[in-house]
Amino acid sequence: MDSASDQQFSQWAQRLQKSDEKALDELFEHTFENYVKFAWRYTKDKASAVDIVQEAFIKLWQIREDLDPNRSLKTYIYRMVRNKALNYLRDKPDYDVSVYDIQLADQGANDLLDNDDSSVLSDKFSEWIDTLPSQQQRAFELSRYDGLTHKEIAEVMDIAPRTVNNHIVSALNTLKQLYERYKADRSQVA
Amino acid sequence: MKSINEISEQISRWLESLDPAEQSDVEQVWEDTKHSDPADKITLSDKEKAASLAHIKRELNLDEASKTDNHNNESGTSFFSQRWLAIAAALAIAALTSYLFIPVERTAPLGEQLTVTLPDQSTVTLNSGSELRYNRLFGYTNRNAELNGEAFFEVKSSGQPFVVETFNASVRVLGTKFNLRSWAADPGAETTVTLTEGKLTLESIDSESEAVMLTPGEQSSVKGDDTVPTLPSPSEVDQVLSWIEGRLAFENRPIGQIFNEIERRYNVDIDVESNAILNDSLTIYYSNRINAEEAIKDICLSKGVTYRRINNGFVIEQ
Repeated sequence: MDSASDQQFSQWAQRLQKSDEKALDELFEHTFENYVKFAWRYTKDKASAVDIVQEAFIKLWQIREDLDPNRSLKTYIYRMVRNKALNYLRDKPDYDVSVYDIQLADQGANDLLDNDDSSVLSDKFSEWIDTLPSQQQRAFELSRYDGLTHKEIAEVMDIAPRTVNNHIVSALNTLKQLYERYKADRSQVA
Repeated sequence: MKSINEISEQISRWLESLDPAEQSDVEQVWEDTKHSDPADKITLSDKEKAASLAHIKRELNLDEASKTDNHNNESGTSFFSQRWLAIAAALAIAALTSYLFIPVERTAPLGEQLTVTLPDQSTVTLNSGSELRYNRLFGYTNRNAELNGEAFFEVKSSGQPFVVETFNASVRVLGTKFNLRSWAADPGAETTVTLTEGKLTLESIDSESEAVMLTPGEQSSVKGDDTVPTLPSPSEVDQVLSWIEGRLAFENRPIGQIFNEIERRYNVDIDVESNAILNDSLTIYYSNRINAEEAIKDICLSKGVTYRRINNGFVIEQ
């Protein structure tokens, strides 16, 4: 995640509330790309991820006066992006396979071929994370890749912090087991 | 980025409950997943970001702070973007044209019916396994469709003729209701049309063909390669339309055709050990819905043969 601190977010929120356009520029500059990455995890398509985050920023400006300074702006945007991404997936026709999906699939096939690449283990993890139940996967990604706290994840996903914790422990448990099995298989080969 | 111990108190407590080997594995997992985010491959150039910010501001009617800086750039790209526009338009026209020529195909699944509403609001009820095709200009420049199978058409009145082609015949109407049966792959395949309302003409696909005109309650057929349809004759409309209610009714139909119909309607397989009976004709009429086995049993009884059940179907024994 970008280095924007909670303090910065809270300042941006206050300035947005006062219709400070510069605050929108700064917020965009520091966070847009990260939110696009987050949206992409749902859509698996860059163009639609960009569209979704643009819409979220537009919406944010439109409701700027109603922003609650006591609530985290960071998680509020995450939540908007998540909801828009879920709507996008809901409305998207099934047959629409993006070129990027195909590229990723190809990449997956290539990775299986060259085992010695040092990035293989992290690719393995991407693959394993992808097989986790979706709520677990989302919670884990927000924790690991976006660096959100359990409380923040709870707000984004609209679930209890305890549930977030359970999701992440389950995810780590599953990944640990997959990793142990993988290690065992490799030592057998070696 | 936080270490695993920092992410939450509860995670630390959970870690402590594990034995040391497991603990180090979890730490390894945490470390290795740092670089496993596939979204890291998604990056935005400064140009892409600028375009997004401009889009956001345009939508919000906000002045772009950086407008003057970009001004030269914009006029520099306008020639380029005009060319782009021309190329994009040409591609769009090509795509649209080829799209318009891809026919729309609707098929009723085996064991089911499908009702299709056409762009002119005419409706077509397709019997199991039947296939209807029409092009995307249907309702604009023409009202032409193709049928393989059986369907009941309710055609909305319009000055534009509604034409249905089959493998060997074509039906031309303005606004009527009619049943059309034409299974190209059936033994003794023919196209039979039964009119329930309005007026229509039937002709064979042969260009020299003579057309016949039907009045409600009449039926006419084009058999095989014949160039002339049969003379219109009164028909039992109830029986012809019985399939819409899921009933079976066959008047003087070859058993091969009857078995094909049962296969499609109930989505079952019927294997016939001896072809001898297939060309025999049969008349049966059920006033209720029955299942496939009851129909098979009656047919076998009437022809003096036996059957046995197999997985998803029946074998007709000699």
